[in-house]
Amino acid sequence: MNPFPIIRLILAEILDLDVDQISPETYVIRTLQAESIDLLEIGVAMQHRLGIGVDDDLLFLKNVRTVLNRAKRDAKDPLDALKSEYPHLSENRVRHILADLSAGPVLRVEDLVAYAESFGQAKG
Amino acid sequence: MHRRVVITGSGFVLPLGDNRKDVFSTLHEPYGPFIRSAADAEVAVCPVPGFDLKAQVGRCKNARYLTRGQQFCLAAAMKAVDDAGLGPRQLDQAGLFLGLGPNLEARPRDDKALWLLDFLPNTAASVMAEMLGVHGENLTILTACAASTQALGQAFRTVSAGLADVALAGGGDSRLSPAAVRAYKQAGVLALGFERPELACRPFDQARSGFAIGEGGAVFALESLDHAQRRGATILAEIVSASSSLDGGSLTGPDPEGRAGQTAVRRCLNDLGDDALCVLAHGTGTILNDQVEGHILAQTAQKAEAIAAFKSRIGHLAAACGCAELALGLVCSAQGLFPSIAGLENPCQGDLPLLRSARKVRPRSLLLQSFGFGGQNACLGVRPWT
Repeated sequence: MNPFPIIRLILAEILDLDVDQISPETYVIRTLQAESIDLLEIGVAMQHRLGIGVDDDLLFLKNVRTVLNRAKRDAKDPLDALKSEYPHLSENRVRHILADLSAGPVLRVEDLVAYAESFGQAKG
Repeated sequence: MHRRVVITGSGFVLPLGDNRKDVFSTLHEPYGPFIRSAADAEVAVCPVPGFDLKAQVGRCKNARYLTRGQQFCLAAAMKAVDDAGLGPRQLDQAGLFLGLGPNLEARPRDDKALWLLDFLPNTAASVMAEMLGVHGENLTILTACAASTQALGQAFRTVSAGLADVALAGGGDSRLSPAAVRAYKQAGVLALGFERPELACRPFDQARSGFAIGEGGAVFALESLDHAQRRGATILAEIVSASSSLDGGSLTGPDPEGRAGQTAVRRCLNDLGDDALCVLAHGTGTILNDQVEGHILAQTAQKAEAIAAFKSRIGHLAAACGCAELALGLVCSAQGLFPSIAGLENPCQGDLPLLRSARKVRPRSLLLQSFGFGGQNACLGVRPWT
């Protein structure tokens, strides 16, 4: 089952938005202005309504910069480092994240969807 | 330091409307817009129709932690700020004094990370501080039905003492949920056995049987007189006194002698005086409250020109009853016309100037009195600005 409709509804409810303001490409923090308290609620709501386990650090890509700093320190490829940290993201998406970092927080709705889908696959 | 304190703005969201014109015209209908509760058809309620927080205040993510009553309070505060013409510079150090009720819907939840915030009484103040940009002296007061009157009193004292030039004060409440209706019904304080819901709440009538439940919010902008005059604000009224007291008796009903209640009234009247006095009575329509309040009024307000009881027209707004009734009192004062106490046919006390029909009154003194569960009494003395 595509988790996007439920995730979109969760985001709309918690962030006090209309669902049509939210697409897979929408930036959760940069555009929708989600704050840490909102992310906490989104994580719990996804856990409850999608029946998945949630690791907030992975779900919300909280450690992207830490992972990249570590890769740089250890002279590793940043793309590989991010793919290894976030196996639920496609390679294309990771490439986009790397190109997009300077514009602000990278988390998009599609990343939440990918996380929920990967959880379903792992379970299945 | 004792400074004069004035009201320079009001905002309200009430069953009768959210602007002065609508509220005044609806107040003079024969009856208030009461209906039977969807949760319990034996109970009369007076809801705010079609309330939409987002339409009133814009996007508010943290509304998820606010009760409906607290949302009324937020909407009313935004309106009060607009009405007073206060900008970010004046609001930055402004005070915030709220009278609120408990969240009867709060419960531990698996689907909400911070359900703790549903229980915390200061969540509303925190949300409002962020949205309004107020950062000064503050209190959240939960003294049952005296709460918002007491909040206004504390704001008055704070501005008077020079701790703030500007303060927002008022409250909001809603007890129309099934749990709240059940709680009041089991406490035995609701009007029952009525033929039509608009005839349920009959303050000071011999045939009264209890109150009808209302909802809403009202907030006022208070300022030192100097501050208001310096910025050329429109002044609506002056607050001249505030008092509170505790019965120290029953947890629900008033002290039959009304001693502490009377003390609060007298302390307030000391500074207010009784020149062209209009009393905004608590007037719940319960057997005991009106009996005791009638006794207190007979001792203290014999010279009053009129006694109004707005709960007969909007129901009992619980923690927000005082601020809501002050809002209505100021609207009526400005128009010079007060409505009758709806449903009052045979007064329980014959020697009081209870408003049995609409009357032209231009009060120079308004005494707001609130007597709540727990023997919580609070009064406020206000002079409409002329």
